[in-house]
Amino acid sequence: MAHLGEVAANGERLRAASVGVLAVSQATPAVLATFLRDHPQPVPVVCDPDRAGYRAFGLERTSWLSFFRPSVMGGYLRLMFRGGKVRRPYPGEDVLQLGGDFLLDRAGRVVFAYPSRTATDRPGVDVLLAAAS
Amino acid sequence: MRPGDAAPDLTFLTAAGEPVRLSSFLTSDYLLLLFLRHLV
Repeated sequence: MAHLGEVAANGERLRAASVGVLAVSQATPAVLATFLRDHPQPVPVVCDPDRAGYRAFGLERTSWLSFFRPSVMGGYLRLMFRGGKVRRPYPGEDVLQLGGDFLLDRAGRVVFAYPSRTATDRPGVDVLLAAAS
Repeated sequence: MRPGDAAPDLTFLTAAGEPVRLSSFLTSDYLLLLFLRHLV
């Protein structure tokens, strides 16, 4: 969610670059509805509880050992120093499932692909905007 | 999935449980598709 927060905070820059945003969650609709009721989001969020989309985009699962990598631990520490909290996932969410960022053009063709290699691996918004220019 | 590939027109679910196609979100020049790890 920290990455979604960063993307949302740069909403104006993304809109100026004609980039829409869609967030995909592993949650079930019921869990997502509860989450959005308590934490409204400025971008649409949809569910993929079977993770068919995650598989279609080649997003892999990581291992528990990967959380002990210095880069991953450093990512969580940075999150906590910025006021973020590490919380337990909702029921049904696979904590080992990695995420990713993909930029699609209007025809649905992939322009940019960034499958996360670790739990905290995400491209910055500047990288995403550069891909859209 | 790599640059140049055609993304499958996946069907997701809304928070209300309604199916929605990925293509319905392709209304801007670009769509940033964020696959989240988890909601929290």
